[in-house]
Parts: sequence; structure tokens; C-alpha cells
Amino acid sequence: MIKNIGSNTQLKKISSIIAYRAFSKATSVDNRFKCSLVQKYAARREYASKQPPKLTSETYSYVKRDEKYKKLTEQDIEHFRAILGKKGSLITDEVPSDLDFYNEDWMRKYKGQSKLVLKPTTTEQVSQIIKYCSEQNLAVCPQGGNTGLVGGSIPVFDEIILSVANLNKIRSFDDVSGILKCDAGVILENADNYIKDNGNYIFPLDLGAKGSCHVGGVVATNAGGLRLLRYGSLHGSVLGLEVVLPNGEILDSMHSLRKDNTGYDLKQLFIGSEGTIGIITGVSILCPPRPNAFHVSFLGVESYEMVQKVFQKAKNELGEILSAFEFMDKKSLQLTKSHISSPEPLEDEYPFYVLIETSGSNAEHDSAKLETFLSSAFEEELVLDGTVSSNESEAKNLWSWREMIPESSAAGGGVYKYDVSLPLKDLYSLVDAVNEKLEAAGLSSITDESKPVISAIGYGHVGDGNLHLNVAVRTYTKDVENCLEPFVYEFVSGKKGSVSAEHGLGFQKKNYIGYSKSDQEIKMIKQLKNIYDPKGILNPYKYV
Amino acid sequence: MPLPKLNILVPVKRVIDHSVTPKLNADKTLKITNFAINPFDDIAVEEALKLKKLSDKLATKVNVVTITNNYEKDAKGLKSILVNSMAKGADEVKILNVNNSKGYDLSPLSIAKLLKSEVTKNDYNLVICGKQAIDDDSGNVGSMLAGLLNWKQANNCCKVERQEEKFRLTKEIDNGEQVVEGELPMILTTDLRLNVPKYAPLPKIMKVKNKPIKVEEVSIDDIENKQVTITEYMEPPSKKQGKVFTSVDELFTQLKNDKVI
Repeated sequence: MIKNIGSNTQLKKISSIIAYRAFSKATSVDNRFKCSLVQKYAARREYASKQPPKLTSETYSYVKRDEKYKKLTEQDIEHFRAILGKKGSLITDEVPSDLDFYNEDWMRKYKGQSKLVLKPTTTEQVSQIIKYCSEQNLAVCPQGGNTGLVGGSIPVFDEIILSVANLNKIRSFDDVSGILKCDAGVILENADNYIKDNGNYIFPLDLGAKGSCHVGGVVATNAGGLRLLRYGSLHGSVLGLEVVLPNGEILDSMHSLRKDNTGYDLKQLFIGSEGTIGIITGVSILCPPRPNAFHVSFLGVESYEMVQKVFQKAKNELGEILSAFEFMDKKSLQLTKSHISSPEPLEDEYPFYVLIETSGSNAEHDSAKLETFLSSAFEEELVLDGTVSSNESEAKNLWSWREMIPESSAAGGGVYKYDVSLPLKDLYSLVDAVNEKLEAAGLSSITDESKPVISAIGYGHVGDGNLHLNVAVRTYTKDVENCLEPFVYEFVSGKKGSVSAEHGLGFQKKNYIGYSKSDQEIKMIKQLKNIYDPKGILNPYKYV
Repeated sequence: MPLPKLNILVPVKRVIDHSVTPKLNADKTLKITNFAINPFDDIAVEEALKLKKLSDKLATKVNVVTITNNYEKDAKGLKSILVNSMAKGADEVKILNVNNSKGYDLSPLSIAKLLKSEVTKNDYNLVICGKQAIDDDSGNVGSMLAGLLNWKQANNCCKVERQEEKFRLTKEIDNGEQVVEGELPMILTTDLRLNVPKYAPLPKIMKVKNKPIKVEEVSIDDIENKQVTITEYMEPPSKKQGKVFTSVDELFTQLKNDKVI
């Protein structure tokens, strides 16, 4: 007989009961996944709230308010109230904390001092607001989902925040051509779900913040994200835009034409403009059919040279089904390991790891292709070890090893983030160079707690030549900053790379545009800005 | 005295992938696009292989078996699950093909009876199975099998320790944990905290993926199997839209109208 030895009736089981409930319902494990994300997010908010962000104007005291802009008056507010009409779409400093959500970025790194948030519901209202601001010399900071990483959507001083959050209607979707037309304030995930349910299409852009970022915002910042390798940049997939210009005029080019060779392609000017020469209010975008078979493989590789060889082979042999090719170094994985609880993909450690995703319309065809590719990669000894997802949940877990790196690298205290584009052959040399420099300066050590820097790690989208250099630190110090900057930018510039591959310039990198753009290019950007926004009311103090 | 040789059977089921939302077809049947091994069975496989690692490897056998009554349709998916088990380290794998009950779901009792004959034929002395399958959530097979074999059972295990000839098992119970002990033969069912399954290593998948997989024809008591049948599936009622009240009075009027108070 089985003998009962005793019971232990403590409440520690609660977590397992919750987990069990999630597990026992086929539908809700996806929620478990979401839950954990929510928890993480909550944890970060909690951490951040201990140290409320300092005002941007105090941290960067060399930036001064330009006195050419008028200060907001009661009269102005009344005028805006009349334009907006409906109650609730205008937020003033009656309850100051109501403004915090719009004045702070989600990393809580920047904080503006805006006293007014306007949330128009129609393009017409946006136009009237901007027209008035232009006449009155009121500075405006356009804002989308406020998920940017460079402080571009946060006012620096008292700029009026114009949030497009209430411009949130899907205008039309053509399930034959796959062309979606929607307002700028539609949340990316909602747009993606809508076209998924209405014809099984996919939004050609995906990124971690998809649950809060706006379609207009990703276009204005020319976001890159996880699907760029497959579907290309927004410069290709956006077909038309509706934009309110700095004088209040509406530029309507909401075309649904794939081919249109009639003069200047004006919409391109606004993709990546970061709200400096117009406010995007509507987007027309071409969406590809949604793949229904996903496979993920996680591989251990000996050197960065081998990563490149695997990439070359993957491009040749996986062809059209290759949808992501991500790489990460050993230290990235080590940091992540201490941060997440899911099982490690591989038993031993390797200098580099590669994550390959394929997506297509036929699971059997895709998995046969992937298998052939993997077995010949093993035979040619390009990869040392690996695993492949056998179902959707394993695929998600494998992805988490890549997606959790940014958070893990900040867990030790803080992180300096650089998002750069480099020619593929030089991609990883930046990480080596930074580590050497930090060690030579005696600033970095993985084990010695007295050093400010833990380590510099590298990971990113090999497919797009985009490296994320993260310098994980225990504390932020001026020494480290001086060691890194402008060294990183000079290095990137020396290799003819870009100092901002997908995050944009915003406020953080406004002084570094010169490392990536020539004087002539900067001159033209300034000229364009002067033509369309001579008073400079749109998103001032940023990169233009 | 040498420890008894472990001869472990792990029955596994292929179910809807827990990361996809099940959908309904127009005729009220389930539309399942993605399948996976039942997560609790995955834990069972992992635990069996862990026991093998800790014991004398040569003297321990871990065999994985799965059952279908629609072989033509399921074969590919079942094989890929079994290939994964082999790559992780299972010794032998097998598909039991029930050839006389097409069109009906196999009942827990039918499955338990099939497993019973598997156990007696092959001299297994330990069966590790998931505590329930996440598709029908019935959670009967482990206990029924124990009853049919007249074996000891420890359900919802979250910790398994081998101490000489005894097993010491920690079970999840309603208000905490319960620790029990017993000797072989026995049935264990696994709970979520027991372990986290590892990934199958790719080089081993490559090695085993072309191995032929044994398929055995079996039959069941068809009348008994049909005692409970599924008539239809329904979506859960959708959540009603919430309402924001501007005053307490309004709230009370509404509550009174709805006869809540």
C-alpha cells in the first residue's frame, strides 16, 4: 500500500494552482503567456516609479525654451475646447497627474512639462488645431502610442501634446488587394487582428510594443521590427498618407495604387519624419497574406563568421519562407538565463546563437525545407547544436530567448542602448571593440561588483544588418558614458553605418545625425523643414 | 539486493496546441489547426527520462506509446511526437491503431483497457502519465488503469524521488502538498510543477527521424466506448459590455431595475 507520510498545507501552492488553471484550459495558456508579460511590465512600472523621471529640461539644462513660442493662455484653451466640442478629448492641468501619461515616455527617461493634451477625433479637427497653433505661434508635440525609445514623442518644455489616440477608426479594407486604410491612431495589434479576421492578411510590421503603438506612429518613425526581412521597410509597403501640414492644410494622398509614377513621391517625406513636418492622420498600406505555418529553429554556432555563413545558406535554401534571422552572443544568453525560467534551448554553451523563423502557407512543405537545410548545415559543420520547435508553444518559448534580451540586459541595474546599422561583415566587430575599450579603461567586469559595467552584449537582426549593442551596467556613471560616446558613433560612422537603424533620432540622438548624414543631406532636411514649417511649431527641440 | 529494474511506460496523447484558440466549424465541430503533445504528457516523458538518467541507464527502459482510431489522418502528427520522444531519449515508441471505432472519440475506459494489456504484455512496472489531457479534461485514464491493474497510484505528482526500492512522491492536493511512499509497481500522474520539458536536440532528431515506427492493430469494445458521446461544441457566452455610471443614484436605479438588490 501507499503510505501517507504527511501533508504540508501551505499557501505556496497558489502560484501552481494559477498556473494549472491556465494550463488546463486549452484556450488560456496563451493568456498565461500574456499574463507573464503583464507582470513583467507591472514590475518595470513599479521599479521606475521609485525614481520618477527628472524633467528633460533639467537633465539636459543646455537646451533652452525658445521664447519665440507663445505661452498657452486660457483663451487658447477655450478655442481648442470649441474645436473639439466633445468633453473628455481635452486634458488640462486641473488634475496634474492626468498629464503624466502623456508627458512621460514608457521607459521613464524623459519628462516634458506640457499643460495641455488635445485628442481630436477627426482629421478636420487636427487641421483646425494646427492652423490655430500656427497663427498663434504655439509649439506642438505630436504623439502616437508613446512607445518610442528616443524621446521623440515627449515634449521638452510646454509644447501642446496632440495625441492621435482618438483617431482610431479602420476606414476600409479590400480583401482582394490587401490594402488597408485606417486612421493614424489605430493600435497596431487591432489593425493586425482586423485584417486577420477579414481575409487572413497580416500587417507588414510587427514589434514588441504592438499592443500600444499606433499605425500612424510606426509610419512617422519608420519603425523596423521583426518582419522587415520578409516584408521590407514601410517605405515600400505604405501606399499613401493623409497628413496635416504645419499650416493646417490637409495633404490627402490616401491612394490605393501600387504603381503611380506621376512626379515626386511626397508621402516618403513623412515616413520617418518623426512629426517634424506634418502630422500623419491616415495611412493606406499594402498587407501581405498571413502565413499559417510557423517554424522556429535555435542553433549554436562557433563564430561570427559562421553566423554569416549560416545566413547565406538560409537565404539560398529557405528562400521565400525565411521570415526572421536573428543572432545573439553568448553573454546575451547568459544574462537572459538568469532572468527567465523557461528551459534552455541547448544543453551546452556556444559563442553565438542563431534563431531562424520560417513562415509560409504549407506546413509540410516548410518543415521539409527546414529539415533539409538543417541537416546539411550539420553535415557541413556550420552549426554545432540546435533544436527546432515542434509546435506553436515551443516556437513562442524559443522566441522568448531572443525577445527577453533587452529586458534582461537592464536587470543588473541599467543599460546603455545603441541601435546601429553596419555592413554585415563588420556587424559584430563593434561589440568586440567596445568590450576591449571598456576593459582597457578598467570599467568592466562580469564578476567584480565594484566595476560599473557588467558587459557589452550584441544581438540583432542579421537579416537587416541591424545590431543592438547593449552595455549592461550596474550604475550609470559619467566615466562609462564618456568611454562609449562618441566612440560608438565614430566607429559606426567609420564603417559607413547608421547611428540609428530603427529607433529614430528623436531627442536622444539629435546631436548625432551628423555621423550618418552628410552636411548636404542635413542642409536639405533643414531647407525642407523651413519651407513647410517656417515657424518651427512642429515637434521643436528634436533632431531638426 | 540489486534495485528492481525500471521498465517505464509513458502513454501520450496528441491534442490541440495550447497556444492556439480553438475555433468552431459551422457544423458545431471543433476546428483545430495546430496540434501538439498534451503538455502534461510532455512532463511525463521528461520525468521518465530523468529517472532513467538517475538510475542504471542500461537496466532502465522508457517506452512511449500513443493511441489513435483514425490512423490515416493522425499518422504524421503522431509520428512527429514520437520522433521527438526518441530524440529526447525514449527507447521504443509505438502507435496503437484502434481499427473498430472510427468516428467516435475513444473513452478513457477504452484507453485504460488498451494500456492495461500493454502493461501486462510487456512487464512494465511503472506507468507515468499526464494527470489529464487538455482537450477533454477528463483526467480518468491514470486512475482507471490503476484500478484495472490493481496497482498503487499517486496522482498529481509535483516531485518524484527514488529511495532504494521505494518511491517518495509529493502530490498537489487542495490545500497544499501531500507526501506519500510506495514500492513498484505503480502509476504516477504528473502535475505542472514536476518539471519543465527540455527541447529535443536537433542532431538526435536527425538521427532518429527516419527510424520506422511500429504500428500495432488493436480493437476495443465498441458498444462500451460509445456510452458517452459528444453531441456538439459551443462557444462560451461572450462577455457583456460594461457600463460607466456618472452618479451613484444611476447605479442604484440600474441595480434595482435588474433586480440585483
